[in-house]
Amino acid sequence: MLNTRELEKRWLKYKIKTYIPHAIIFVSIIVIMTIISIFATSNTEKTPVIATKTEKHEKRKIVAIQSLQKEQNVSTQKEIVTAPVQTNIQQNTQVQTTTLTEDTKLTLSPSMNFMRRIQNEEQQPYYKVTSSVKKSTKKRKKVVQQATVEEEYMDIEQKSQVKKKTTNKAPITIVKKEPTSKPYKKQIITIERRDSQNDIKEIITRFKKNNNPALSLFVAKKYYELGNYEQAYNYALITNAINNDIEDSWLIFAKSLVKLNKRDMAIKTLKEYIKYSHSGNAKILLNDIQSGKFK
Amino acid sequence: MNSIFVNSKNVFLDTVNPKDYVQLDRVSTIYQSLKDSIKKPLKMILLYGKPGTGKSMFLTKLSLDLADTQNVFLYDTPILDESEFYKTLAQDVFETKYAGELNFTQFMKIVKDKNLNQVPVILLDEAQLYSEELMEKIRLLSDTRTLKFVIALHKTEKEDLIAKEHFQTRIWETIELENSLPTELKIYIQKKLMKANCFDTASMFNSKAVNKIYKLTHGNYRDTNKLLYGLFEIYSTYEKNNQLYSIKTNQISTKLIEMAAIHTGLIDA
Repeated sequence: MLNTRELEKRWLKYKIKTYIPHAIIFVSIIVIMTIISIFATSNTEKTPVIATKTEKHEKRKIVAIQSLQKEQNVSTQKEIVTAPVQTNIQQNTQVQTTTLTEDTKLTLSPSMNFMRRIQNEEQQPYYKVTSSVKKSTKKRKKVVQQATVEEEYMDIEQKSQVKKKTTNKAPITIVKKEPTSKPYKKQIITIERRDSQNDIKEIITRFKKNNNPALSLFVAKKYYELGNYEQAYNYALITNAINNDIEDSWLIFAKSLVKLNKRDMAIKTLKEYIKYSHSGNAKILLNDIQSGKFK
Repeated sequence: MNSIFVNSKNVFLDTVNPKDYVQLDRVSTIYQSLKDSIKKPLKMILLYGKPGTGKSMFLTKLSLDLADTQNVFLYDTPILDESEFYKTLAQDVFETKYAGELNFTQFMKIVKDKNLNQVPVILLDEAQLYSEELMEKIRLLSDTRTLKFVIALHKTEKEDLIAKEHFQTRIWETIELENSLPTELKIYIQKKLMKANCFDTASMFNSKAVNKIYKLTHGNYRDTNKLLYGLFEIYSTYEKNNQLYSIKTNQISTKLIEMAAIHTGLIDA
């Protein structure tokens, strides 16, 4: 009589042996697919990932960039705004310092306001860059409203250290009301700490690290605002080389050319860009250059 | 009374019995052509194929079918000694007993002296075992047209050489036997079982089971018989151990086919 148990064991071994190659093929396919998908996703998300990483480390720098963009307008209003706001801060910090204990830990998270603002700026027509003092104050209000609660904590804590009034109670709700009720306070604090030239350098170093066209575009705009048209031209050119679909970059490029007395080249460039993109803003700028409105 | 599995097992015992011969369309055609070739004035007929393709069964059936009408002599085991070979033929075909050594010249004399009305047919199985020298003598004997040889041999390089050297220039017929196709294998198995009244087990062979068997045996009849013998042996063991509940009995279990293949050595596990 056959030993069926022994035979069954041998059969089981045989089945396992036959499934091993299938299992290997299956696993290797899954691994390959995973690697491919990781590569695919990393390629598409490479730029934003780098941006968020750097923003984590340089949150304060982003605040500086925001303030830098408003620097021209802010400088005119600086004296007017500082007096009432500072008094407000003093009042607020008196309340806040009573709420904050030494053990309170603040967690900082990256603010995407900078990126959002750049995107918003790209959608706006070029002539909004040269806006009046009134417009800039409105913008500044928006920026202040967009500022995060964490930023508020930081600023308030710094002030509170000066005052050195501490209690054990911590009603956080009062702090959370700050960004909406006192929008001017935070902005002034950040503006005071930043130097425009240094900030541009920082942005340039960041740009060299990650090659983000948004950063080079910002530098180009900044240089243009500061009147350094040659550098504005250079950075707009770099931005176009990285991504030739950014309208603002083309506009800054053309405007810089006009400012560098290369009007014909600016017209030629804009015409080429309009032919390619049918951009409305580019057409307006072209008309302005041709009619002499923009010099 | 034996169980259906024991009866089915016995069906696949590896024996050459013309009663067990299963008629398949393709095989029947080949068999008919072989029968027709014997009637033709051919000197030699070569039947070749891989081991287990049914050459021995063909020769056995042929000898049985022709026995009534013709003098047929079947030698299923080769007579390797030359003198013994001549003496056996002299005794069987020409009814001449020879006490001492019988050489080719003496045997040729007997062949020429005996004037037979009908050309006797000599069927030699496993002819690849004969020496080249003896094969040459067989060729010369067939040239006399007093004897007709049907030679069955395995298809190997050596046999191809024999065919080339000894038979190429002769008027002869070659018939090749091949392994069965999956559809033929199903008919073969079911017919074989039904011949032994094992209808229940015959109905258990569906296409899936037959394809699995075909995959393991490549349609070779001998391997198939061996595998199915092992398969029904496992079934009967399961039946004895009251383990049949663990397997399907309305159709042949693939697991048991594989187990039988491991048992018979068709699968190296």
